[in-house]
Amino acid sequence: MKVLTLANFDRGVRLRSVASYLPANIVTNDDLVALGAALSPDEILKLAGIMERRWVAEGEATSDLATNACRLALTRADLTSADVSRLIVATVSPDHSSPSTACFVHRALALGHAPAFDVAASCTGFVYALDTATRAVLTGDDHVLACAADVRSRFLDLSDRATCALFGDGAGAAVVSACPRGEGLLGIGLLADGTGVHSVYVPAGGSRSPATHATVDARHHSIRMSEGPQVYLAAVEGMAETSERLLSALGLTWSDIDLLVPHQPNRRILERLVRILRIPAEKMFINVERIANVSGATCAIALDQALRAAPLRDGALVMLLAAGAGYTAGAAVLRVDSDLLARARR
Amino acid sequence: MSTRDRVRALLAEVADAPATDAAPLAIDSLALVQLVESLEDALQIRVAAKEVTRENFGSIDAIVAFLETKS
Repeated sequence: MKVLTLANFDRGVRLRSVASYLPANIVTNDDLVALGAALSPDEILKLAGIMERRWVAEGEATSDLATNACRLALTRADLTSADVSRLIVATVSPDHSSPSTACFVHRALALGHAPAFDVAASCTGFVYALDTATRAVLTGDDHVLACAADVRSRFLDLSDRATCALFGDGAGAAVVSACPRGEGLLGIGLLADGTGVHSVYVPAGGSRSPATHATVDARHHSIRMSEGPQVYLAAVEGMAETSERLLSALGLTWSDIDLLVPHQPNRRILERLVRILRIPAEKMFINVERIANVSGATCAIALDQALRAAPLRDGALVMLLAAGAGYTAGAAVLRVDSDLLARARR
Repeated sequence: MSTRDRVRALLAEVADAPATDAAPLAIDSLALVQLVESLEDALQIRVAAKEVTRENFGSIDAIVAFLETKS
């Protein structure tokens, strides 16, 4: 695992603001079954702990969600588009295969000539974007927009019991800015393990298997989870190992962490994670019932909701933690300050 | 209750019983996750992702043999 330790640098990096955006359309488990899902509402609730999720409307795309989240993050930060040094959009459900979704957001926000690009790290997307944004600030950028947005509802096969009920759509964004050393982020750890490339993937539509009538007929443009039980257990193992290694690298223990904001693949995975980490259940923020798994955007959305709703004090330590397809995993520890809390609650 | 009987009982909660203990399990991935977690709770063990293979979970006989390696 590669760990970025902020104490090793002359300047600090903090989140100046966080925001999220969810599409208006609520899809309940009953709605999902009415659309043809291969699970009953009771099965979905029992197996995944999900009651509803948000899906985009016809014509709405990932960049639309990302733009709204970024716009709100800028407003909360009391910044304008002219202040943005760089835009990073983490997504595995881009508007188009080319150009980047970031360029569509760039156009919508009128970001001038600020660099903009996508990163793809599946459910670890926001943590990867945050790492890249942090490194950009450490090397001189003023304010970086780190965004994660996904529209996985466009890539679902409702006849597939393993994946049909798990995913929602949404976006989250943070303005990442410089601060005095010792404040804000303490560290970020990232890893990838390519042995999991086929664990959760979309078989067709890329350069290896371009779209044809046959790939469409075979539903190869939908998310496939080839080894569900292994993926389930590997997600927990990945999050547990990543979090423990980051804590160790930073000289911290779980007793130092006030709130864990994890990726939300399903409630059972989170409950298993609590047992394995041996942390109090109330130390973990959970919103999977209403939001579901929004892939790379999940952590950012959860962080925004936690900053707004959780009983966090000035100086509290929060850990973001995610694992996803690839495999990828990542964690970040940040010190929440009263300014960030006030901006989140505007 | 023997481990074999416990496996049979927990399996019956999530899937149809196979004809024999050696017969391949007809179980989907969601039920397999439930079975793994039930076994973990009942036997106070931890199953790793890499251990959930056909070799270890392909039949009742295979599960019993696997569980014996965990005790």
